[in-house]
Formats: sequence, structure tokens, C-alpha cells
Amino acid sequence: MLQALLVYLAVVLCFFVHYFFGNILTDRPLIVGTIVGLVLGDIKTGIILGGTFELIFLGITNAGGVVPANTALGTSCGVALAILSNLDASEALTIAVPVALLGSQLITLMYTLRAAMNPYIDKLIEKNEQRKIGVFIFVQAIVSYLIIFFPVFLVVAYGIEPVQAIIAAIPTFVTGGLSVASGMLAAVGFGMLLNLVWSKSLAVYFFVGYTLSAYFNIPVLGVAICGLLYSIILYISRNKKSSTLVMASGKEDLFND
Amino acid sequence: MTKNKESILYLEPQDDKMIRKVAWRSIIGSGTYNYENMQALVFLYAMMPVIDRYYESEEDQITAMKRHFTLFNITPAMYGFVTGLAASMEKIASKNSDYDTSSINAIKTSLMGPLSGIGDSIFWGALKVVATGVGVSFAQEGSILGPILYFLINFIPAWFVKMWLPRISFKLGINFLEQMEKTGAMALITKLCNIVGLMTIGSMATTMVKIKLAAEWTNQGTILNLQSVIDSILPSLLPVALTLIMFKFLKKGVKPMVLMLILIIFGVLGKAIGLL
Repeated sequence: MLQALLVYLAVVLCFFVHYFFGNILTDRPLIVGTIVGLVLGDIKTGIILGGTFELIFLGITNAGGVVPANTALGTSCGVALAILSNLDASEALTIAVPVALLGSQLITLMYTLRAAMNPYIDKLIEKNEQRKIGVFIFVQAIVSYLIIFFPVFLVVAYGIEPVQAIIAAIPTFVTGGLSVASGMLAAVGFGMLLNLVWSKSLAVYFFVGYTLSAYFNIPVLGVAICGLLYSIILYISRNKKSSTLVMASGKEDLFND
Repeated sequence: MTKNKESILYLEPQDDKMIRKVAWRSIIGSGTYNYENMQALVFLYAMMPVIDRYYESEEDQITAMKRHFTLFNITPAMYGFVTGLAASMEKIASKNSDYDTSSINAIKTSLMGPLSGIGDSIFWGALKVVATGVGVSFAQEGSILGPILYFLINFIPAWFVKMWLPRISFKLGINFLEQMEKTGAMALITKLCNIVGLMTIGSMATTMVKIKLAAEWTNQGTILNLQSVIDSILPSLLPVALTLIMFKFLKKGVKPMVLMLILIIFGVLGKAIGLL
């Protein structure tokens, strides 16, 4: 039980360091495997399995959808059980993969729940409670990591069966529905951005961006470059005009609104 | 960080202190990611020292804080470039009441895509692959050098970039904006920023909002998929329409939370009846 708790906290710490020191990849299998090995007193197995999982999950993360498989959760469970019950790499992997997928469901849930806390931040902003916002960031992060990685504790303390039971108990339309909803939620965020930048005279450019991406399959970077180049053209042509014409008619402007 | 006043990295001591705070806070990057406004909370957190310094009245501070609690998403290595730049814009905006603050978010938005593209290819594409190659080859022999090298190859370049970027972009931003104010090109620049911003939002709404209908029906022996019918008329109609509907509701004053709840319920119900 103490081992389970230590492994659990170590993995949460890896995740916390990863995020709060700038995505420095301490959540990757190679690091997590090493740390779990260190905690359980068999660092060599941890490193070897971590390296193996690193290669395997390299493929899985790239193929992932909105949320990639939670490799840290999968690796920590796999490596811990491998060390504690003497499993080999392929047996450890059969544990790691389903747990990693469960982990991505938990992350989806967490990102949704965090969004649900945004009204609280709005209230803090309204009262100019800057200190509380700072505290909130850390509390929210640590609590959500503790929830995301709770399966590690279960797996190390009680074996793989309870976690498999949990995975089987969730109806597929709930997990599926949540991941569908997670794809739609960004629409609210983009709506809020539009609310700030939108003006009637410029609205057409929103649809220019849509057309470039939807019909010409230009990625966001390409659309931004198109916008930048177009802006430069406007800027140059206006400067030319202003040096020749504008002196006469003060109102002459490309952007009359 | 540097004493040489000619250096591009030199800042006045007070600016230096502020930018240091901004850099450290920007490092959290996507640590508080959520589906509604993504990394907005960290952006707000990073901007608080700037807002505190440049805005005197509580009212102005609150307005500025609200401005930065909006959707933001960027590859974490590049985060500091945008916070530094936003800091320079806030500095100019606080001194000039005519400054159109909508350009601040427009610039933030238009930088997300390009900088993420660059950052991803450097840090995820090149460095991470090198680190994995080196790290795993040592790790397979059980050598502690594996994880250590893996960590250092990823960590050292990223750390330098994260510490220096806010400094560089703050300084460049101030120089550029002051220049623009002198020549009177500010209003035009603001418009141009909004154009790029709107185009980028249009593109992002098209590619990043995910909604697909799964409903199918059989017509004279052929299976018709509702989504492919829509795609053949207007590709990505649904994501953009959904974004615009959300925008309309938000404009009417509907709370974002209410809209999100509706979307979640819609998602689960839609999945249950096979619509989505």
C-alpha cells in the first residue's frame, strides 16, 4: 500500500513538473519508467521498460485523436506491475495500453471539468482577486492530476482487475459522447474570440479564412501567412496612395467604416 | 540578464523584473488546459504583473484581465513570445486611451498558428526525435544515461528559448509600436491585425472544432451518409456554423458555461441516439 502511494505521488510529480516547467517531457515513458523504477528499487528494469514503451507510444501518440493516450498512466502501471510481479515487457504492455486509453478518457473529463470552473475565474477577475487566481491555478492542477492518476494507485495496490472492471462499467455512449462534446467545446472559445475581434466591415475575412481551410485545405499556418501577405499588400498600396492622393481627399481610406 | 545596454536583450531594471515574472509564469503553458478557452488561464496569470504595473485604477485592471481570459492555445515553447509582445501592447495601451485594445487579442490569435507551427517542428519534430533516439538507445542497455540525456536534450534548448523569448518580443514590440505611433500608422496596423486575426479564427474554427454526423439512411439500396452529403455541399459547414451560433448567443449575453453544458448534453444524447 505504501509502495502504491509512493508510485502514485511520484507519477503525479512527473506530470506536474512536465506541465509547470514548460512541457519538458517528464511525462514520457522513458522518464516515468525510470522514476517508477527508482521508487520501487529496481531502476534498471524501469529504464529498460521505459525505453521500450517510449518507442511503442511514440507511434500511438502520433496516431491519437483529440487527446492522445495517457502514456504516463499506462507506463507507470505497466512498469510498476512488471517490477512487483516479474512480468516481461510484452505482458507489461498488455496492461499499459488499456490503462493509457482509460487515462485519455480521464484527461478528456478533466479538461471538460476545468472548463466548467471558468465562471469562478470570471468572478475572481470581477473582484480583482489576483492572488486567488494564482493559488487557484496550482490547486486546480494538482487536484486534477491526483484524479487523473488515481488508477495507478488502484493498479499497484489491488492489481489490474478493479481497473478493468471500471473500464467495462462505463457505457460507451457516455465516453463516446464526452469525446464528441470535447471536440465541439472549442466552438465556445472561438465564439468568445470572435466577440472581441468581430466588426461588420471586417467580418468577410472570417469567411476568407474558412474558405481557404475548407476548400483549399490550407493549414492554419498557411492561412495566417496569407493574411499577413494580404495585410502587407494593403499597407503598401495605402502608403502609395497616401503619398500621392490622400493629401487631396482626407477621407480616402481603404477601410471606411 | 545582460548588462550591455546595446544588447537586444537589455531591459531597464523595472522592466527586467516584470518580464522575468512574465517568463516564469508563461512556462506553465498548457498546465491548466481546458476545452473552452484552452490555455487562457495561464495567459491571464502571466499578464497579471504587467497589468498591475501599467494600470492604476482597479476598473482598468479588471478590464485588462478580462481581455486576457480568452481562448489562447500555442505550443508551450513559444508561449513567452506572445506574452512578452502582449506586455508591450498593454504598456502602449495604458498610456494611450485611443489605442484600440481589440488589436491585442487579434495579434495574440494570429500568432497562435504560425508560432505553433515553428515551435512544433523544432521541439516536437526535431529535438524530441533526436532525444528519443539517443535516450532509448542507452536505455535499452539499462543505462541511467538514457533518461538523463533524453531529459537534457529536450530541456536545455527549450529552457533558453522560454527565458529569452518574452524579453526579445517585449523589446521588439515596444520599439515597433512606438515607431507606429509616431508615424500615425497605428489605426491601419490595428485594422490589419484584425484582418489576420479574423482569417486565422476562421481557419481554426474550420479545422479545430470537431463535429461529425453519424446518421445514415438507405435510399433505393444505397446508403446515404448525412455527413458526406453536407461535405459535398459545403465542407466543414458544421464546425463553422456551430462557432457562429455560439458567437451569436455570446453576443446576446448567454453565459459560456450554459452553452458548454448544452454542448455536452447534446454530445452525449447525440451519441446515444446515433446522430453524432
